Amino acid sequence: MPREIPFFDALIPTILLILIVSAVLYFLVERLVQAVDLAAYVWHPALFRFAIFVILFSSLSLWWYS
Amino acid sequence: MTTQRFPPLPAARTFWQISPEWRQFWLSSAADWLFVLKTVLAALLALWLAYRFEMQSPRTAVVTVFIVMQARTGMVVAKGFYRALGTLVGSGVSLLLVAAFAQDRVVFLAGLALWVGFLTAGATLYRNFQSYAFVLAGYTACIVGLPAALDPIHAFDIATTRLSEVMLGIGVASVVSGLVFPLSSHHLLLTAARQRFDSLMHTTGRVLGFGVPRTQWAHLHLKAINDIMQLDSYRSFGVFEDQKTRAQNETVQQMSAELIAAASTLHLLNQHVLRVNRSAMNPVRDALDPLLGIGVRVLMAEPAASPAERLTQLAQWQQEITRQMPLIDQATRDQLNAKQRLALEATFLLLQQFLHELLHYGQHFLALQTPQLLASPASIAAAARAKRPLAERQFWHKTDGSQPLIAALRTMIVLVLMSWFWVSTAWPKGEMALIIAVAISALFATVPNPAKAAQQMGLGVFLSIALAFGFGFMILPHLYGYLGLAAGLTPFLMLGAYLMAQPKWAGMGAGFGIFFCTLAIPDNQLQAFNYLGMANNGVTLLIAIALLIIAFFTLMPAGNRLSRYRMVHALDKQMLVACARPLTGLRRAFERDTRELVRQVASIPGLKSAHNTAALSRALTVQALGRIVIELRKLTAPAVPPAATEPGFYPPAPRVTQPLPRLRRGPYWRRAARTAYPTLIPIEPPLDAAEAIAHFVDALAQLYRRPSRRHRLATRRALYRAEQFFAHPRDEAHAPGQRQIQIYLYLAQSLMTRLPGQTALPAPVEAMPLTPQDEVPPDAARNSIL
Repeated sequence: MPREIPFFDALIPTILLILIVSAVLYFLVERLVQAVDLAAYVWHPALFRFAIFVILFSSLSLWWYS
Repeated sequence: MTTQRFPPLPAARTFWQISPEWRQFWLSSAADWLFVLKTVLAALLALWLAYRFEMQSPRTAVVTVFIVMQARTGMVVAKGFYRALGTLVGSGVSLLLVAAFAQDRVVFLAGLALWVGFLTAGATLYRNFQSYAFVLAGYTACIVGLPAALDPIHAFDIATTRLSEVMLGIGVASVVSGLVFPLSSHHLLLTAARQRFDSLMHTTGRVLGFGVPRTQWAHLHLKAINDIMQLDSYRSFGVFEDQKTRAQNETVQQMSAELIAAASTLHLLNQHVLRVNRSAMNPVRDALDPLLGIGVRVLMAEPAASPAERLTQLAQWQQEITRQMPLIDQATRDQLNAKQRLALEATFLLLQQFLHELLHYGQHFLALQTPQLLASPASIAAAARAKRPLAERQFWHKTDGSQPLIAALRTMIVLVLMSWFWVSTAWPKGEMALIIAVAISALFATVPNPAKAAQQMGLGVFLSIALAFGFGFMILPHLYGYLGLAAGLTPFLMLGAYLMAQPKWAGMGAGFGIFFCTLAIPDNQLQAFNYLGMANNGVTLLIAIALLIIAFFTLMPAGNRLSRYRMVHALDKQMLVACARPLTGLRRAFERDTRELVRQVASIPGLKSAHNTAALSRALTVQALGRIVIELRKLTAPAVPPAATEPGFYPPAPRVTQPLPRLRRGPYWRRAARTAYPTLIPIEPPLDAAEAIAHFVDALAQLYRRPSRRHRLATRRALYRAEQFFAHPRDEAHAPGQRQIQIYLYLAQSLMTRLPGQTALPAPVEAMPLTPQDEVPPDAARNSIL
């Protein structure tokens, strides 16, 4: 798996692309969370959201780099 | 024998209750210490990550944390978002500039000056963090562009490094502020809305009771304007915060729009009540008092009922007024003369209109306080009906064209002077001095009093240099590893954050936090313990900030004659807008822009209070008279043809007078020759209502276009003529609108003594406290700097 991807001759780190992809995924999950109003059952909504994002991002990048 | 008095014993308390001292501390300064904790935590975390990622200068990330950190999560995210945006655009432009002009320093610097000036001008046209994004896009181009131009091979690397360091700082600050004891700004919004509601109720009570004297009214009016702006900025942070606030975004916008409408009618009502208080109007007062008393009792009740109850009572009162109006009218028919009857009917008209708007406002206010109300289908339908188009709800930062021009010119002059000095002396640190001077001068361009802000920051810079020396050469040599560095930095970071949390010292704290980090935090490639380097940097900083303070004091300082003159003129021009612009949506636009201008006139620093009072009193006249003119124009506008009522058809805007006359254009010797407008009012009676009103409106436009005694007389004549026309109505003229026109003419008449164009200034009224800034809550004060 390439660590950097050339984009108009500028080398872009793949992890940046993964970050963007996971942000998009995160917003999809966020919509879902709002639809079922999960935030009402969570102690710390912000922490919950952050954790979702971290899980998405790290699982994607672990999968890519392993 | 004297009885001995003992101090009262402290109240017994159970074990879980905290002592009053702790309670006091908790209420007053816990939020500050929480802010300190969060800032230090975020700064250290960002520092660690930046070292860990082997970024070139970790200090940028820490500086970003200091800049972005605010008390409320929404503000941090909002500021971070706009900072990211600004940095992105600025870096891009700097790369373009380097790519195009790296070989020629003069062209490069000229291009930079143009870009920075352009964006500084843009910043004065926006508010809050949007303005900040503009400023940032301007000076980031400087921060990235100058080192890149000196080292064009690595230009791209420099830009990406800067970008990633800033992004890291923003990310860490947002996450820390969102996760560690998050403070929502939603609560702040609700509290502010509640306070505004209460003070509107209180003011209304005073107006209906006795009327508020003009000098106090100006103060109340300014406070209301500032409060509404505050509400709007809380709304704009809340959007970045959580779903709940985002859903209510529209409600808040609607509420502010209705609030402005109600407050403007209240302004007219107050003027009218003051007039009715005079002894000639005693019978009117007597007839009205029982009815007004009900309302005053509802509004001033102590302790106050809940907002919902109050609004219900007010709605009942409105019905009561509608019921009693014809009764009072009949009962007093024989006792009142024509003037008094007009005054009575004017009160009814204004009161009805005001209550209508107030209840609309109350509806949105309740929807904000209890969101579940929004969910019921009936209220959704009601909300949809009461919905205003987007353009009427949005706030624009209306200002006179001179303001952006002054800001842009000042920044450009600073840049050009500094780069001239750099180029001609080949000063090795010139690049740094240039960057700092441009960044700070752009940042402070949007502050009401930039010289004072720069002075405060200068103090912070001085402190930061002294402490950075102490840290760098006495503490840093004994530290080992990241933990040691963090432990050594913590007290200094805490000091910076604590200063930032105090509204009085916010500017100094920001200066300290930013420049201490810049000077003291070692680079990744270790070049610490460079005594000469640090001394050079310190001296450079001091020179840059000193030059900047001089520039702010000398180059068109705040409150200079030009901007004062232009601001008052912009207000006069609002009158022309009211007189001549197409009527669709005019009232909202007029009120919104006038309020914005009034606020800016009042915030010009360094004005003698007499000047300020005169300007403000003129502004209040414009606001009231403009409103009356718009109503008059609406009443006499030609009826819309029936075909035009179908949906999708927009009638051509009715135009009563000629296009907006130009305000003082051209050199003065030509201006005199251009008075070809018909200022003379014909003597013969007007043919119809529309003509009479059109003459008055025209004369008023002339007067505000060029205030002079002659035009003032013409205006009063035109008004008198219109009044005469309506006082002896022709037989066909008894349409219901006629009476309203008469009432509005009557209201206008009371303002005739306050028209501009007097030969001398009106006698100075007693100086009134004009300090809109001193009531800004600490959160707002903090984010106004940087």
